[in-house]
Amino acid sequence: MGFHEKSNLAMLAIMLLVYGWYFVSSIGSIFGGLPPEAALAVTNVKMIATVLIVIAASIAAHIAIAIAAPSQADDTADERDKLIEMRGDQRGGFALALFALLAMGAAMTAQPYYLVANLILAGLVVSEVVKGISKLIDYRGVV
Amino acid sequence: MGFMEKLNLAVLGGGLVSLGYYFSRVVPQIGSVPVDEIAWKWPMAISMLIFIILLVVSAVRLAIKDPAIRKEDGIIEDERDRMIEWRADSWGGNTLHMVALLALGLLFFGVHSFWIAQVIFLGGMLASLVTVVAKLLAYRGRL
Repeated sequence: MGFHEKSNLAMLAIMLLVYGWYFVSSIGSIFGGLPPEAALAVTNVKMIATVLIVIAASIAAHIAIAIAAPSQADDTADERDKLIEMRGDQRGGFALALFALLAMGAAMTAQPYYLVANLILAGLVVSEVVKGISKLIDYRGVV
Repeated sequence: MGFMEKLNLAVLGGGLVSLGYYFSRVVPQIGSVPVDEIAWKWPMAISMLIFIILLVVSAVRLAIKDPAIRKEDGIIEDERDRMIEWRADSWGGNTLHMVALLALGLLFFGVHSFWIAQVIFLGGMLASLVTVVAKLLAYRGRL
């Protein structure tokens, strides 16, 4: 398993864990009885926290991957890596487009801000997860 | 010019027409009426409808006119089409990511939902435009 494949696996695991926690723990705020302003404040703080956690965890994961196999720790992407990346970006982009449409629909129907914000965030997360899974499958030999 | 390239041009044309309609309805209101009173929801929905209708009509018209399409395997993409598609979609997807982040940022600052919807809508159109222009350039060998 090469550096890029390990990096992809690590990022996929981080995204699933961090945003899995975020959405599971925020369901109550998003759909519960909290007033819109309070729900927005709660999810805003958590959103910022998750971004910081993802950045810190990804740095730690990449350092760990590089230490575990220093000879492979080369960030240069070959032709296959680039193709796999493009394909993942394409599929992730489709997922994001779907959520963008949902978010736009929510904004058009004057839904509370926290709902629109969480739809956009969900789109970004789902897009990254779709991209990660696509790359995982492609690295395993489909491409 | 192959079928996919012509279809791309049709997408570009349809996008510009629908966007032109939307701008002609919404832009004159900006600044002259309060943001809450801007009539943008129906123009946005109609503009999307115009885009879809133009795209379907163009695709059908191109398919009828193109003799290769009438053959059983005429619409099958070749490897070059596929590469161009992946690359352009990946660019469009990345553009949409930036748009989603921008919309999320605006939501954090409590910007009016009118502007949020505009960013998502126009950003989605921009992402489509990036995709189409990237494909057109790639088909012409300039990418």
